[in-house]
Amino acid sequence: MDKPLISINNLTHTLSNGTKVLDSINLDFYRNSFTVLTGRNGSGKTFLMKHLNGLLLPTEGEVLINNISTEKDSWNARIKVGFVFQNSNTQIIAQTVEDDIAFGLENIGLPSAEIEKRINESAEAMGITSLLEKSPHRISGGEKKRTAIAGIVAMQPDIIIFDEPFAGLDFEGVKLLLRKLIFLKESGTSIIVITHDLEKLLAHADRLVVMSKGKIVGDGNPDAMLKTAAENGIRIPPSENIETMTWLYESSKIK
Amino acid sequence: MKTNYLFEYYPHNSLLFRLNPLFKLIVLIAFCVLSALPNIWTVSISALISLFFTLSSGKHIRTQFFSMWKIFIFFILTGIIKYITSNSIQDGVFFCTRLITMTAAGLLFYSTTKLSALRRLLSKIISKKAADLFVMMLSFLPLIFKTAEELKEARYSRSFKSDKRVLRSFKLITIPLLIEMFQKVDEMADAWYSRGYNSDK
Ligand SMILES: Nc1ncnc2c1ncn2[C@@H]1O[C@H](COP(=O)(O)OP(=O)(O)OP(=O)(O)O)[C@@H](O)[C@H]1O
Ligand SMILES: [Mg+2]
Repeated sequence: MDKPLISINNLTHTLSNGTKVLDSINLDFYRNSFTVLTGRNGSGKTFLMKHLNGLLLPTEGEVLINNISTEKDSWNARIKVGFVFQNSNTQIIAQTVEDDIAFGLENIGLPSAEIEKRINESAEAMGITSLLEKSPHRISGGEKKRTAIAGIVAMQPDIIIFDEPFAGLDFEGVKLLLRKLIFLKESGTSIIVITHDLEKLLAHADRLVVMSKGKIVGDGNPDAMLKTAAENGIRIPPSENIETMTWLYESSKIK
Repeated sequence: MKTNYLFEYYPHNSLLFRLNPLFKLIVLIAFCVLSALPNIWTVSISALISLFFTLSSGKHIRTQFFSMWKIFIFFILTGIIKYITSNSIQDGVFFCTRLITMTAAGLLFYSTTKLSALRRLLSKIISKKAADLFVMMLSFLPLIFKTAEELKEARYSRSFKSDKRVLRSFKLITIPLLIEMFQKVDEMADAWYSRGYNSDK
């Protein structure tokens, strides 16, 4: 098998008050994969994912990105692993949407022509071209979400983590994002999506990971994991719904 | 709901927006120095110029300026205290004029300057780290006003009345604001880092 892009070895995170938020996690993520991560509120999904791009460091164990530990080189982790926050309000930095998308691109030192190209591409992909000049304080919640996604996608990381990306998006936003996810996966970017809404993704995911109380309680093929997910409080979409959604992806891809 | 947050950048097309950010920063500093000199000419000229630009720079900036009237009353009070303690009317008037001038100039600078452009220019003349730190500090100021506004909205929507009970307001707005700001600093650092920001590169 390929070398993993991300390798989590025995990761435990204990808070200063003694709570174990994450408990002996072992997971590998490979190129060209599409993983859905699910679990109850507070099960530790966001906490775990923040370790992948070095925003949090393990108190025990290690996280390797391309074989380099996040503790040794967190910048490496941050440019290889993109992370779209659960709350897009806290992810937006700049005074205009355009500047916000540019922020990451400037940090990785791209020439300005390339920056402009990528801003336009990702804004178009997320349907926010008309907002580029606007102040992020003056756009709607869903538009902020799209801006935050565009800002990360534009950096073209090897793997992108989306934390509850569908929350607050309208139907068109959902379709644009799905189309982008499928496109990203096809062009070689690995995807991890944290969601409670399996219906939208199951047809395209190749792996379903279930968390509970800081532990991995299920990891495998989505079909095989559905029962585990249901035992952990996740609503399982009826199979006919999954088919309908598949049809939706196909149509959105062609358009 | 407020549609205007104090010190918020507002894309607009005017001379002030097109000026070089670095130049504006230098002018801002010059203004603060000028208005601080104990000379009737520099104080009044800098006050007049900044007031002129503030009032002629479009509705957005004007509204913001006048929405600060509570702060101006506070400035006038400090001017009066200065007058009483120094026993000189001129000192009192100067003191109050200076504060208002600096506020107006600061507001103008903020609402018309793209921090990303300033960051780019500054990092060419001072170290990149210092430029980033400076811009990070600058981008934090509008956030304070925005957070205060959001906190107030959240309280009001739960039927909180901004009443005369100062202590209660303090407990319900000022203290949460401070806590929120500490959290915001953390979140902002996370946001910068997750977008490939590196203080050493
Ligand atoms: N900054 C923090 N300090 C202390 N505890 C925290 C912090 N952030 C999260 N926690 C705790 O860690 C646990 C896991 O939180 P996490 O945010 O990872 O949950 P989650 O699985 O993402 O939930 P959700 O589905 O609600 O987003 C929770 O019990 C939470 O209370
Ligand atoms: Mg979460």
